[in-house]
Amino acid sequence: MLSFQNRQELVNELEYHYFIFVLFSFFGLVEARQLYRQKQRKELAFYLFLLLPGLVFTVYMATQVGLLSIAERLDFWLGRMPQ
Amino acid sequence: MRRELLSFKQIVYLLILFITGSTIILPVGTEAKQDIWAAVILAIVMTVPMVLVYARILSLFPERNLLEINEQILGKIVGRFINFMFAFYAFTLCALVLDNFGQFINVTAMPETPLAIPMVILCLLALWATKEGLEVIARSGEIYFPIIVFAAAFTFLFLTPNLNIQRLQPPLHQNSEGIVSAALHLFSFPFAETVIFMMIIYSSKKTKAMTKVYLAGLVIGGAIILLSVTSVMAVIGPERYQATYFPAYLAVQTINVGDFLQRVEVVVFLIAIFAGFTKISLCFYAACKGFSNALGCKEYPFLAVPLGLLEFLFAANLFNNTKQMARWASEVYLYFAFPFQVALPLILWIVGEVKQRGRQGSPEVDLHDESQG
Amino acid sequence: MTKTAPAGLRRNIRKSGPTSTTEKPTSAQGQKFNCSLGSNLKVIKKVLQNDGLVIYRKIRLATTPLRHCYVIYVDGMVNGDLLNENILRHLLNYDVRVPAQVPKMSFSDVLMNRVLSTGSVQKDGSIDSAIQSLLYGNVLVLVDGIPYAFVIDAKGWEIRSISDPETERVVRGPREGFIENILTNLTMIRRKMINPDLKMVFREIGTRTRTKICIVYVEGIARPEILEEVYRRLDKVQLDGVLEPEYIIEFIRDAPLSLFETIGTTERPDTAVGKLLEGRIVIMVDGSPFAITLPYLFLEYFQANKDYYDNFFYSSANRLLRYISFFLTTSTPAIYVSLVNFHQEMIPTRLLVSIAAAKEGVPFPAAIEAFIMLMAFQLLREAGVRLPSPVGQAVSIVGALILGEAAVTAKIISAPMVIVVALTGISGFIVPEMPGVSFFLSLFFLFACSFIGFFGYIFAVIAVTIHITSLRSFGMSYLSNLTSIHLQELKDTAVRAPWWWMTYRPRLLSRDKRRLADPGRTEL
Repeated sequence: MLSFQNRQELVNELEYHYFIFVLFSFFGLVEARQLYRQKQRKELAFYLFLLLPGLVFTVYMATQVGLLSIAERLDFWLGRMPQ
Repeated sequence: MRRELLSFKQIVYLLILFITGSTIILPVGTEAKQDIWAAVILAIVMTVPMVLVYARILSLFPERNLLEINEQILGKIVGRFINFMFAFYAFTLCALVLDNFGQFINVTAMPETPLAIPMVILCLLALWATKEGLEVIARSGEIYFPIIVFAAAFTFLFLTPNLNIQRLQPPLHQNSEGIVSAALHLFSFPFAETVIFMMIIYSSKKTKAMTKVYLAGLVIGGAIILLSVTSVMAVIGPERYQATYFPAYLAVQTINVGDFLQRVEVVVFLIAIFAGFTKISLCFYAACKGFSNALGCKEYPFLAVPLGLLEFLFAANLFNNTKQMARWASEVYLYFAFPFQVALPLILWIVGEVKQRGRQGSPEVDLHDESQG
Repeated sequence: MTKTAPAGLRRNIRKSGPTSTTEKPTSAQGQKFNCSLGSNLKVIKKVLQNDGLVIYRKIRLATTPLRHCYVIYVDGMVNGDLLNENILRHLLNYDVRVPAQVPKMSFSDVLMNRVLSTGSVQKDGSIDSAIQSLLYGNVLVLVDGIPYAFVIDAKGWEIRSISDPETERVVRGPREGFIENILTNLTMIRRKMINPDLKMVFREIGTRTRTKICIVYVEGIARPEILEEVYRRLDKVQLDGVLEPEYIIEFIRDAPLSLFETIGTTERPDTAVGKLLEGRIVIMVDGSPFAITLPYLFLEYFQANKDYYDNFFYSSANRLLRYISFFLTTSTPAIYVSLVNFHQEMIPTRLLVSIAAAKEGVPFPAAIEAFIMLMAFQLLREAGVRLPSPVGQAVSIVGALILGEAAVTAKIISAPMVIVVALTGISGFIVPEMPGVSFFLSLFFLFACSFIGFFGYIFAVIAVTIHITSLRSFGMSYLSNLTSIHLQELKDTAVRAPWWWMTYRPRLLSRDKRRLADPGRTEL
């Protein structure tokens, strides 16, 4: 029987990055195709310009463990160390 | 572009949901200790002039929202740059609220589920709502509002046996610095965040309506915050209020009605998610509109998907733990938000007044003619 | 198209339309009657070849010069008495002296005015439309030397008698329901509203079935822009056959892929008239006892017509019960699963212990258990609906009692789950209009809850809210009455206020807002 804890672990193991990547790639394909068909070139360019880095970063995030958070980075750049 | 019309009531509801959104779950105004009620009142009083400025700007240029006003009075290039900044502010605010709720769900209910899962779901929902348009967000707000009021009233009722006025004593005891500092924080979060609304709504024919809407939302929302933080403080006391990341949750945990109704905090904060979701989707909507304007596009919905992905990534990487979140909220946010909440609106107001004066005749009369014609 | 269609089949006849001109060499497309009876008859017979139901009765009229006439009708579709007494008899007894008595009348006028003594006689010059009328149950009379046909309305066929509507039974209220004949249905509506503002506009839909539909509305109450929208959408329906309103509904509804109905149906004339009086538009479709009502708002799922016939306290209580049942039927399994799996601390300890004891030895996790039971319930329900009622009862007894009991004893399903699913099922029957919606919603909520508990539930609720608020029905927001906190609107939403207090019709829906001439109840 799948107990409560097992289910939680299952969810933990669920590779949600993969889910996000697939989901947004799908949306991206559908919408980019639509924009291409409607000849909205400028919109299409912005769309891909924003979406593709996001997808790349999702993959990057999935492969990294213990990524530095944005707040930590900012602290680092501004020369302020957390207490 | 299709104009999305909201009614007076809808905007007030949205304002209330926006103000209460993430405020009720987070520890706000900790510096004021037992005088938190004074800090909230002071913050509301401080916000009133700012809100009047926001309303005035919108009233000066009817049928236009902040983005269009910027473009009109600052010129295309500067205006779009300012719009980009505002959009970035909305984007960041959205990520912060997403992160707040992600952390909240993670810490209180399901420590073993990855933080990102509730965040990505909320983000997708906000994305969907934005694609459907402002009207959908407003109507959802109309549905959530009565539920929230109902739940809040019951929670307050059940909390009354646990209220301990002793914890609010002594009042106003040599703590003016703390009160002012808390009030400043409360000013920047959540009250002056209503600057986001300027990107969404626009003044219709009646020029006075904007002021009324803004004030009504601010006062009712402020009253709810006042009631909630004061009662939370009275239930758990200043020490525990400061020590915990989610004080309201702790306070609601103490509810126990006849040994039967207990541990209802999950249900109560489920309903808080309605308000949080409204805030997230409004910020996300504003960000989409802002970016699309800054990029010189007419439509905004096409930006929802890529921005949604970036929003999620931004929120997920913003902080690694709740401690960072709390520190950032207390130390950095005030300064980060200041230009958007105070400086830029003031500049815009002055420029707007000057430009409108420069036009012939009284602007009010002009506008009435236009609206009737 | 050059392919020759099977000669003379009835469905090959088309009246008009751009596509029909090139095909069907047998059709009488565009042909007119001429003065020769023989050639007219030949055309008709050719078109109606192999149609054994059509009867041609030849009569020799006592005129000078001698004329022949043909009475043509479809067997079984005309009223025999009317045909014999008022048409055939008069034609057979035609008197040569009649024209002499009224000298200024032509022969055809004499036939129309003196001989054919039925309610409706029309001249039709087009063969095609005459055949159309013939097939609709009219009698054609073709006379030698007259270049048109007399179309006599003598329709009369077997129809089901008016009976208690099966799907919307009420304890108190009118007992009549619509039947399959559109004319009878329209008279039922007309009898309830004796007012010239009640308009009935006929249309034909279905390129092959040529089904008659009738758009009914009350002028002055219905909004013209909604009416226009209805016409615009009906114009676009290019289906070949319409047998039931659903055929049309799926073409003209907003959000065709949504689970939620944005167009309603009713089997009761009183409900239809009630909706008409609220400014809605009713479309009757020939051949079906169900009328389409639109716009349809979410709230109408919960407004049963019996609410308006019973005491308003009782009705209001019933309506609240329906809202609660909607919540229960969609959410009970989801809430149970999240309580048991994720939020055990919320269950009182004793109850938790007994649930844990019941779940002891059950092999499935709660979510799977709930899913199996929900499906089983749907199976039983569907089986019961299709079978004749004694067998249906047997099925439900075997299914619910014996199988349920056995499943619990065999430790396949835990006992609390049976209670949960029974509650879901029973409360689903209280809002009978939305079986599909509530079932799918309960599955959706269950799915969401089985992963992250109550938070999944709330996310699912937000998703449903976004969807439902984005819906529109003919320009009306789907939730338009529900989300307003106007006291006036709440009078017929959350509760059913007494009739003398509902001064106004639903806002936005109707043009003439006022329902009550004099607000309040005059003191007696």
